[in-house]
Amino acid sequence: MTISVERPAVSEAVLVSRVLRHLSKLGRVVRWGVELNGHGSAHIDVCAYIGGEVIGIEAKLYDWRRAIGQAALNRYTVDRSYIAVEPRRATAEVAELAARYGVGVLCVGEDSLVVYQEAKLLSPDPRLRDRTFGRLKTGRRA
Amino acid sequence: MIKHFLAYGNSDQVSFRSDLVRECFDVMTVPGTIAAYYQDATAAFVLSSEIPYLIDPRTPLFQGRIESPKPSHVSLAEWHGEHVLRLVTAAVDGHDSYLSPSDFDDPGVLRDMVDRIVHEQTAYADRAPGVENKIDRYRRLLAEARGSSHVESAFRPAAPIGVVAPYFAVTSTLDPWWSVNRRVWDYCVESHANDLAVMPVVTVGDVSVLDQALAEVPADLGLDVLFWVTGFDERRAVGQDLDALWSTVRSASNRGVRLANMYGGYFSILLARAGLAAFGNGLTYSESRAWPALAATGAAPARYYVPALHLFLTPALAQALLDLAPTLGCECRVCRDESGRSRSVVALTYHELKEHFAAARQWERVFVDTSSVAEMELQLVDAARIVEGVRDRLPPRSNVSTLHLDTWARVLGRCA
Repeated sequence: MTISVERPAVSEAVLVSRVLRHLSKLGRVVRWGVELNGHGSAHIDVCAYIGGEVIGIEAKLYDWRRAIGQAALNRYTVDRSYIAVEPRRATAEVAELAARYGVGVLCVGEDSLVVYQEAKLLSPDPRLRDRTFGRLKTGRRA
Repeated sequence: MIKHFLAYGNSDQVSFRSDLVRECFDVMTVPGTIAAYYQDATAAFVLSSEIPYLIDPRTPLFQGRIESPKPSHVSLAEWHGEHVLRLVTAAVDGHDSYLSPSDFDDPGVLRDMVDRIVHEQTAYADRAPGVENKIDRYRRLLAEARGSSHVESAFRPAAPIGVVAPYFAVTSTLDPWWSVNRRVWDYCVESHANDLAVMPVVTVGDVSVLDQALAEVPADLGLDVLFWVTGFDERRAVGQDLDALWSTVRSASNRGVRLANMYGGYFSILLARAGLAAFGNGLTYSESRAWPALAATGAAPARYYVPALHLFLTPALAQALLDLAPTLGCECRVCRDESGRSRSVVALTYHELKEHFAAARQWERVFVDTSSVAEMELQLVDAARIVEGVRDRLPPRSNVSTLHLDTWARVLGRCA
């Protein structure tokens, strides 16, 4: 009998670095691991300032439900909130659940980053949003 | 009303200057590690605060194998006498070091430990003349925090409200360490009867042995007894253990003992109905404490206490829940703006989260003090029902547990 075990194509850190690399090519300000007051000790995996908007991205290889949960809670801090998944994880099921919380889906491959589903424009808490923006501006890591 | 002991931590100084916080508790408990290591600063802060206080010697830090002691542990070891200090110093030097019950077969070792611990506490106010400048500074900061530039000239540093005897954790009263505790208490009765009230700490690994352990505390020691059930988490505890705790507290209270649970939360407040006199925790932390993991310390994480659920959540998750179920919102002075509208939980600062916790805890105490058992049960069941009504709209994988609410309601129904 052969037991097939699904192996990750990349590690989560690689997924995050790919997001950073792709966004950096766009010339945007990007930080990794920005502390989010609202989450207590948790961090947003990637934070970016693109087109005048603060963007938060949670990257996950497997537990995309958890990623959506975390991204949904980023709504108090960022203007748009995304999850980043490998191309094979970007499915209608993921997009549907993400959409319920206004969360967008980024499909991240080695050579590409595609917006699989656009995130809803949120109304973050102004103070938290400004603080995150300030960190992006200064490049200060939390 | 049940008394609230609030633990002091270095990151809590601002909170302890807040009038709102100061109105919400009765006694400040100072960890021995902090008192011994930051000697001058802690003495100056504690004495200048003019808050009734106790110092916890945290003896179990040295119980059994002594591994990788921190500098604060070395300082506290000095308070525990020469033998303990020698063992801790040896551990610092990389030697295998072990404090065992048989070390106290030498009465001199036990007496030295007790005398030192008692002395450090009874003489605590005598530190004031050596730290006058710091006391002046802290008194100025306190006056400023209270909106005054004037510092009263009259100042009398106070002694702690009692002396906490050194103590060791036990698995049962058959544990060899229990005999050491007994000898510590006997010696306290014999030699320190004229000092401040000596408070024993009964530290057990299981709630099922607490009753017998408490019954063996000598009555001559006084009526104030502290207890700690290591690793006992009121929210995770099964009904049977909560029933046992209720019955234990009630029976001790019936004997006239004023029991204080060193680490507890809302269930301990409910235990006021069984006769619990006091309970302790930190500002947003330490509602339970494991042992031997006592060495774990650090600033509390930023989290929001949802008073209706008697539960901590991350601020973002709390806000997500309150967005869906506003009736679970808090009415305290921190959570409402000047016009009475709810403030955003995620916008609260670290200090405000602590202030809110203090106010919420006070609300819980007043609620239990002024409500019928039926009202308390209803509050718990209602809050759980409200969460269930919105659970499927919370973000995926959100951990908002309400099991403890139903469990506590059932315990109230059975025991109160």
